[in-house]
Amino acid sequence: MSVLLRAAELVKRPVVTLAGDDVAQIKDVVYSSATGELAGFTLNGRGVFAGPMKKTLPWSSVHGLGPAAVMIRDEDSLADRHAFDGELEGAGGAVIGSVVLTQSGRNLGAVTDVILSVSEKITDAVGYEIEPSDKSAPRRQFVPLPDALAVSGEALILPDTALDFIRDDLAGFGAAVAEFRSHLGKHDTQPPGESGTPAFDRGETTPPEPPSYRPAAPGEQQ
Amino acid sequence: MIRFSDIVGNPVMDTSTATTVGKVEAPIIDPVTRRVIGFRVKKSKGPGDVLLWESLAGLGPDALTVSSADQIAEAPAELKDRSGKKLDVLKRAVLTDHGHPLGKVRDVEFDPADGRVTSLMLKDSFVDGTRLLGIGKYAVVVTG
Repeated sequence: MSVLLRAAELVKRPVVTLAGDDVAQIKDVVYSSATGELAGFTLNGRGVFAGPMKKTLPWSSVHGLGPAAVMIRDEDSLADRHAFDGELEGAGGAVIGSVVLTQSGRNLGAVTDVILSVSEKITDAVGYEIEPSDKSAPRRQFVPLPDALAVSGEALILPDTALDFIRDDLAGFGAAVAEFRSHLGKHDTQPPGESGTPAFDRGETTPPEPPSYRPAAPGEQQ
Repeated sequence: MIRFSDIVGNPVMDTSTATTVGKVEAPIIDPVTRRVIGFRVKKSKGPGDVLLWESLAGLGPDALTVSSADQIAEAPAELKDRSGKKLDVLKRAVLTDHGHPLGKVRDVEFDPADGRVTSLMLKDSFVDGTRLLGIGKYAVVVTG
């Protein structure tokens, strides 16, 4: 099962050991510069006045990633700060804010967030949330990423075919990514439809409350 | 099976003098063995405030009994943190090992014969005691 979520939602999420102690919280997301895959996280200490930590959390050490916490086995799962030398840090780094161009030179907009696909073992950056340059377009759009893409510098270049797979909401985006990648001749993504529901709502939704107001039946006056 | 809510606040009676020597404040659970290993006692008349499972003379629905008030002692060094308030299991958030929140611990059910934790009771669900992985200062972690 894979779920889609925005990388920015992970920021400030606590890092909890299996023993139940919160040892850190997510400061930022780090992407591998070669493949655009999630490399890991930089960390802040817990608490209001805690600053950045020297330790980092490589993705390979993450035990589980859920709506309430990032779980790790124990504190030894944290690596030192040099683990990510040469990789790209998300916010303030090269990814957020850079311009998305198609190969034929059309400006699609600026990246506002990265969409991650999270399954049991693999997490991959599957798309970008962009603020479209076209003002008549919806406020947010989602563009799919090819399986491997060099993310660096000021702009990101996407194949022209990516235009057909832009979506306005996350709900249909999982299928669009899979379709887009198979279109490019890469078949190692999840089958479409598996991530058809907005992932971060899953498990947190409560069933709708029955209406509390009930008209008094005749003869049932207070 | 006994629930924490049944015994918290109950008196600890000294059977040699038939006097109250304290009140049950909170049970202490070892997440590795998944057993209740003792109780923290308030208003203790003994030398400390921890009553270990081995030191109990009896565990009944209305009182815990001890052979003398001296059984309520200081926590052994390895249990100093475990017996503290900061690691109490009641009202602590429960997370699965995949980071999903399940709710808060409302009550805990355990076997009075050996202290084995049989289930954690949340608002509207149960977590089997065998799923317990850890009890930390942030959360209780259970297998998903």
